[in-house]
Amino acid sequence: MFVKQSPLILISVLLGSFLSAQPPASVAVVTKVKGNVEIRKAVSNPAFTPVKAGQLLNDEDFIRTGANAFAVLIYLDDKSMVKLKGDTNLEIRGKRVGKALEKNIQIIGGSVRAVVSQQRRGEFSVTSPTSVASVKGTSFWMVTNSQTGDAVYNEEGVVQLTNLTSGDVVDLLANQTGTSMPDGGLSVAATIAANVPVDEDDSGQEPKELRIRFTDPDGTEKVLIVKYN
Amino acid sequence: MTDLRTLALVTVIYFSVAVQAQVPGGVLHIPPTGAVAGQAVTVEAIVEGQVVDARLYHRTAGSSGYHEEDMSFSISTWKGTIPGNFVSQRGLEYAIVFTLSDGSSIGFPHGDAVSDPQFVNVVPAPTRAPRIRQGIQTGDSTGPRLASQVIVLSPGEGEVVAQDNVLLAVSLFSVDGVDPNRVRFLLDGKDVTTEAEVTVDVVTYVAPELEVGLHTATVELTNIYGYELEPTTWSFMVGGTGSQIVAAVEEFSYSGKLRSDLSVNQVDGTTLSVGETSTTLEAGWEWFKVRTDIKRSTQESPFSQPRNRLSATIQSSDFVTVRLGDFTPVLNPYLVQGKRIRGIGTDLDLKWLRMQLIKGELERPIQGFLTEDRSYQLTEITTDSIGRPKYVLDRKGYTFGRQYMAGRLGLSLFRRFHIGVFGQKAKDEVGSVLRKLGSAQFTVPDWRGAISVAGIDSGLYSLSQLESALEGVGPINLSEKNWGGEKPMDNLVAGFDWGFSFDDRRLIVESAWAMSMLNRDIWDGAMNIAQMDTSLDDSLDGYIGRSYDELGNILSSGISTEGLPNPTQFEDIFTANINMTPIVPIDYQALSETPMAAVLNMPSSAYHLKTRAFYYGNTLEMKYSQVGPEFTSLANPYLSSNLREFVFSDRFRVFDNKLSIGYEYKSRNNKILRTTVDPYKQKTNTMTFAFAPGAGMSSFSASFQNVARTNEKTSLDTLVYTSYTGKDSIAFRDNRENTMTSNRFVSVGVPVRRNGSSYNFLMTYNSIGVEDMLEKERTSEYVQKAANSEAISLITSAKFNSPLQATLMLSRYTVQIPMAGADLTDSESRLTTIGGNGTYGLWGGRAKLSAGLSLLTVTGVSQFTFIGLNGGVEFKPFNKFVIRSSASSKIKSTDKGTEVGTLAVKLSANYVF
Repeated sequence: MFVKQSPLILISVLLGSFLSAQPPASVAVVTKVKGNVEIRKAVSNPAFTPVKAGQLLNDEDFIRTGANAFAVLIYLDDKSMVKLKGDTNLEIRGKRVGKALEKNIQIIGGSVRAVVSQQRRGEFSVTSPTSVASVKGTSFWMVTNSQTGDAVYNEEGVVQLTNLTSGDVVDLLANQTGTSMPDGGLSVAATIAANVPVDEDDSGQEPKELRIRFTDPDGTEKVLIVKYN
Repeated sequence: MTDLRTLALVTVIYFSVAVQAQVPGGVLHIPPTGAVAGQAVTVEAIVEGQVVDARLYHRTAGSSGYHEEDMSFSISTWKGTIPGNFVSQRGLEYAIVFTLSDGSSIGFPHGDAVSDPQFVNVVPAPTRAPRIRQGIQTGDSTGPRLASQVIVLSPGEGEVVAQDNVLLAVSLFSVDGVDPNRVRFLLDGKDVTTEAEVTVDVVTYVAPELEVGLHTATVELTNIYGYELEPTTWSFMVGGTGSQIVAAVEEFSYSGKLRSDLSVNQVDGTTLSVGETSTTLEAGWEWFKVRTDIKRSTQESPFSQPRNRLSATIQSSDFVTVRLGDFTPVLNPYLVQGKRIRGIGTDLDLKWLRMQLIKGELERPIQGFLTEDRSYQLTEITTDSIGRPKYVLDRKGYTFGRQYMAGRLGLSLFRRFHIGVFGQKAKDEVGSVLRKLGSAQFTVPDWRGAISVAGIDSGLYSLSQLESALEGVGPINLSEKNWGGEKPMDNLVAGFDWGFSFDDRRLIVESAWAMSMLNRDIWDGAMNIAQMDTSLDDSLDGYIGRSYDELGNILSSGISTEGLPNPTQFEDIFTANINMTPIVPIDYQALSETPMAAVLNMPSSAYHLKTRAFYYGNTLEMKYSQVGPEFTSLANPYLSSNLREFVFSDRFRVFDNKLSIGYEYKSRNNKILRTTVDPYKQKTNTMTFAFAPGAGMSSFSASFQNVARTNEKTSLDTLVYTSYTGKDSIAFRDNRENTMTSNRFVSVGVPVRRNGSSYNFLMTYNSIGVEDMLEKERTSEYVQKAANSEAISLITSAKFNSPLQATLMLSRYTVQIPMAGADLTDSESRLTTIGGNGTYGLWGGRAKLSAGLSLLTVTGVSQFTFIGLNGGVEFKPFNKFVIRSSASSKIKSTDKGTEVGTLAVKLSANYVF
């Protein structure tokens, strides 16, 4: 019996060894870094090291941003984008399933903006100690504070916000803000623009534009936008 | 690597240039023994006779249509070059056709050159070492390219970014099987792969500092099976700090090329000088480009189709392309292929929708030569109704202007399915040819042999002179139409194509169907209903093709004309009359018996169904095609009609493309119509091997081909003659065909590097043998049509440490041309060539001197010797300007004596900016 099964066992062992020897697959890349941004890799080095643009991210890598820092990471399968403001701590999750990633951001605290492409598989979710915000494709802000709870500012589409304490669920429409409290409270209100965090990509010196019109890839027009400060 | 390519190219050129064979048909040409995929092939030929037009037709082996190239005359030789992008591993077929001043044509291969072109084996391009390729690859790949699913992460298309530390990143997440060692990343055309980080999932590159303005990035991929994927290119802007405005004018770039050639050739005391100047100018931005090409030739003549070229191409991104002037449109092989158009072509490509339109002149009108009896012929001298002498003239030697219009509308869904409809109209302009050419001359014979009343003196007259001479004597009869020269024609082709792909274009299915309408004579315009009624029968009874017996009973019902459109109302679309083909597009009898077969075998239709698959290193292809005997496209006269073909092929590549093994089976026949008499059948099996382990290493390629050709004729044709005495005589003609042709090709290349010098040795062997399977049954008078040949060559090239380069070539070509009553060994010619060329660089490469000597000895049926001498100088006064000068002479020695056959001088100047 053992003799009959031994080739199978051997193959399994070799396959297991081979798979375990493979480098972890990248799931995202950091495209912008401003200020002090650090990473703690999931497997190799438990210490935090500085992040530079171009840094590849694997499943379960942990990122933290210093005060007034800013970072942008993009998932490799569909260009879904996560922008991190200062004083943010999160773990990036991405599991390859077929030709897509199941994506999740485990945020401990801070502010992130998620610009999520239409998901081919599952939902894109941001999980905090208090709540889970999940979407199929939209953009929203999530500000997390372990003491005061979460605020989710939905910009477009629908965000499903779940309070992990009470299990209550609400759907946030565009320009609605959901507040999820550690005590299980969950409420929805119209977004007050002044409360929405400022996107560092869009803020500051707004570039002026010079537009030159040419044939558009969609067949109507192509506009060359020359931006200058 | 480069040396190996150069060496292979030299093989091709040397075989066609240095050697000259004495073969029948007036064309002296030896085909190249092989070619290298992706590299241009130059063929040369010497012609006996005054050539007015020389064309080189070429196509990928197995294709239906041809591309045509003008051949140029230089150093007593006609040269034509097949661009490298048409040279693929599937093989190359070409034909050379010369039109002579007497209006006749000769060509190579002899006989019907275009129908039976010369085949050339093509070996794979030498392996390119990764990461050392320079310059952007611009679609010159000879292999198929798979769709790429690359995602551009940063910067986005058109995004404006800061100058410093710009991150360029693309995701390969959705691309299967990327070989990270063969990824190539370019920024503004510069290869930055070595500075980029490449993994199987992502490619990133941080540009330290970029100039303000527009930048373009490109990523090129090859998968682990060796297939190239479609490159991904995108553009982004870099904005400066402060208030810098990136002016579009700063992104404007231009380049150009100016070339002028002059050659003077003296052949047997006749001097011919040819000059040609060509200018290419390209200017614009990445997203908007204009390119102009101007070529002026001293061979431009109103008596032939244009030799001058003037064209402009305007391209806006990848979406809109407008071509003006001379261009070669590509729509569909059933419409136009390889034919120059002078007009306008637009191509709007929105990826999901594509619309192509062409309008212009396919042939320009040619009035004809003015010399003796070329444009007019006096056919008859007779008398008119009042007894005066009447001189009857006929017009000939002209070409009608042919207007052309074509279009295709295609729809692509989900990048997987596409469907399109296409059509064309080509129509001769009857009024484009002048009826009267006052100075055209013709011979007027003596009237005494034709009429009894006095005419004019015999002699050579122009039309004006004849009109003057006949004033008060008699009339000239010159018809307004229906001249004896070519007839004006009208042609319509319409059809559709469709296809789909699966699995990232690894499995592709394509098909097209087209039907043609051709009117071979539209002098009399469209017929009316009454003429249509009597087009197939003599009875004006309201039915086409209705027949009756002697008593008036209906034998066959025919088609009622009631409700049929009046052709005169649609004359602008197509001129329908009795001269059109088809009059009835489908075989009605076959339609009732086997409807499907009747539709598929419509004589004026053409179609194909092709599947291609790329799996596990295999490139599998299966194609079924048929072109009916009456299918005609005036814009693609080289499409072989009356041909049914089935092809199955597979090319298997392993070891990173280093070894490839190919097999092809091809079956073709002309048994499309049930009425075809003695249809032929041809089956071809081809095996190819190519092994190229890498740059600087020896390479090997070989191919073995067998062609079995038969017709259904099993007995001799009998011809019965009846003499004037009433006595019958019988003759037999052997039209049976049963041959087996074997084509073997072997090539070995060995590069050697020693003490800083590099040497390349290339040996090729090619033999073509034709075995007549009915040889024992033939009579001694029977002459086999095909020729046996054998060629072997050894070429050595060397690049020394010094600025000296040298090439030495030895070759032997043996050809047996069957002749009546002679044994094959008695009809053999043997051509032995030894030649050498050397080039020496001076002043750091700013000048080069070259010299060469060749000796060709021919024994056998033909016996002569050619000694060739050549020398030249090249000088670069500054980097972008090159002047070249060369002189050559060929001395011919026969048993009658020795003479200078040709003397040629060539000057050329190139300026690139």
